[in-house]
Amino acid sequence: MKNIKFKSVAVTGQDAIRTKYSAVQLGYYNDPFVQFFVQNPRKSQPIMNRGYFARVYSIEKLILQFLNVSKKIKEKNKEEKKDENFQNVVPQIVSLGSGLDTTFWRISQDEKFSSFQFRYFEVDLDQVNAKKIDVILKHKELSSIIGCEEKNNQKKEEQIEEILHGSKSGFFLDRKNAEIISSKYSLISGDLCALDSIIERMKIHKINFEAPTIFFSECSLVYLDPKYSDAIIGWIAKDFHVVFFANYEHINPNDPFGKRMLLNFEKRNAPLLGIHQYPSLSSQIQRLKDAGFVFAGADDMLSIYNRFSTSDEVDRLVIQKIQKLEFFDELEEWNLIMRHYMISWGVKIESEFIDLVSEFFHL
Amino acid sequence: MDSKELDEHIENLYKCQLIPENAVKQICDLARDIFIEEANVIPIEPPVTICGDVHGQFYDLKELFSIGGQCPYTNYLFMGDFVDRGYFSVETFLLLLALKVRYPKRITLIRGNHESRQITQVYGFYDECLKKYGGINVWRYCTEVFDYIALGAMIGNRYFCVHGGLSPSIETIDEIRNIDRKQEVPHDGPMCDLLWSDPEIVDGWGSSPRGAGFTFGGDIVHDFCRKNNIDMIARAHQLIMEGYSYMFEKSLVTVWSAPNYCYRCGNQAAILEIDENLNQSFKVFEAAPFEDRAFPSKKAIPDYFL
Repeated sequence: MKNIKFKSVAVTGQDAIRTKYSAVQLGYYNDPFVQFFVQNPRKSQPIMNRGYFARVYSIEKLILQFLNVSKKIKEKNKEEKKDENFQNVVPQIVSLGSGLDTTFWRISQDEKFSSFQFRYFEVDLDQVNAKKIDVILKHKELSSIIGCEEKNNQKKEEQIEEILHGSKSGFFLDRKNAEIISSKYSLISGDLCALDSIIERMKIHKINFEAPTIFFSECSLVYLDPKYSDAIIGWIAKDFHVVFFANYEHINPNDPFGKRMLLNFEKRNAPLLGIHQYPSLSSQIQRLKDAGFVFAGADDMLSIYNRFSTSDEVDRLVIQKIQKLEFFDELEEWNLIMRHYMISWGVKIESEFIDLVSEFFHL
Repeated sequence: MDSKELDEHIENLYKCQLIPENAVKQICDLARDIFIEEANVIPIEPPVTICGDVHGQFYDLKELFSIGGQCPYTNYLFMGDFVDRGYFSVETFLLLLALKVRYPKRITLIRGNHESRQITQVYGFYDECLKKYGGINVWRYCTEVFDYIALGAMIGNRYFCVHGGLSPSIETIDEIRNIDRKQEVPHDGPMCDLLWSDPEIVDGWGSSPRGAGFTFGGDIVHDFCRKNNIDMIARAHQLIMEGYSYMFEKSLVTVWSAPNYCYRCGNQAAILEIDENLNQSFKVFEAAPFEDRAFPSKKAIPDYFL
């Protein structure tokens, strides 16, 4: 990514964390870790709080569904006594362009996730990761979740081996590359425009191409020229054996709200380079199918949110609760802005599991 | 304050410049003295130009005046929501208030749901006053004035104007005339509903997704018009991408006067001109050209999910 734009795109991550903090403070969702990452906290407007809630809630739901489906597949394989390699692997969660996102810390402490084992990877530019490392080291509440820093004079490769094989329980800090490796959590530095070097870093971090893996991205692929984001999505669908994908980004650039949105992101010096190639739900779904996902869906955030408020009891109660938190005089705007964001989801898996996926992995 | 002094303040406000705190106090006091004499539903003789929400978009208000004609040469009715959301609520409201003091028969202001202590603390006016004046006095003066602003207007006995809409606890306009309005906007009841409710395609009354007021259908509007012997309800309150929209066989119109609302929505704005024979015509306008506006800071880019 060109350096002028790096800064403005990285700033979007700081702004995002600030609104997430505002939403958490007001009780939209629980996140005891976001406070450590926020500078200059500021109360955000209700439409922003509610919108970030909808996004966090949706992405978390997809991650949880992925872990559940992985478990079901494992059980099925066990019953049929096949694919023994697959039985011992730990599911992997990969966040692309993670910025200062706190999902890893949150789900590590969340009861809903406590019955699952997983490895969690975050990928972002080294400048962003360096900041994240500072915050993690500064706060015991964060670092204690990944153990103590392992310090000795072993070679890096040996360190990694020991950590990943469980003989060391802490984490290895690589200041030079702004990376962290631990058995649960890996922070990887790389530019999403340079896929080869990202793959190389992932291999150093021992990502397992045979383990069921979910990749997700929130407002990060859309800042890339589509040739780079397509390369990433294509690689995910090709090289991983069983892989899930979720992407949250902007759509509908051609109506009056969308046109203004493009101008405003240009003013931030963070233009939405990917939006013209994938301006609609159907083009987003096609994008995933073309990449090689056998199962693909997408919906705009307004429909997803409205479904939460009418669907199963758990979601409905949550929505009822958060709708009471603040006065909400932004209905028309809410409808507009939420129609300009979407989540797409895709899965590559053996055909025998397609039913399982279509039943349990969607929004 | 003599009229020369007042004109100077108006001139400065037209340039989007702040006026001293003591002048704000004086203008608010004078405005209150005028509002206090006005009925809950102010009778207006046409011609008059009806405007919807402005929301602190000062440069777009100037655009509105250049399209609709300057005050006092054009009569205006502003249907509330002068403050919040935009960057210049202070300048916008004070300009309208100063014009009201200067030309009380030429400009009519009625109250919107944002003319409230509680809402302005959520949606920006409070913070803006604090930032621009270094204290909350100006916010206090303004919110005290809010309590005296009328609830509705009646143009030529035919068009009833209100910020939000109707209330299930009100059948006649006379009932509105009897409300004790001089208070903070309540959380429920007839006064709250007038400022918060929205029309809805579904007949009857419904609960409002806004958390205050109700939704009301075409049957309710037709009944209300018949019972009160009026032709139409004009209201604001809802963003309309084209600036205005009729409903229920033109028995209700929504007028929206904040173009590119929140500097984010990309919508058009409109004003509704009523001539002396009560004929209606709209003027639609876009946001003021970029070079004509000042921004409070470089960072003032509207919020998105990032």
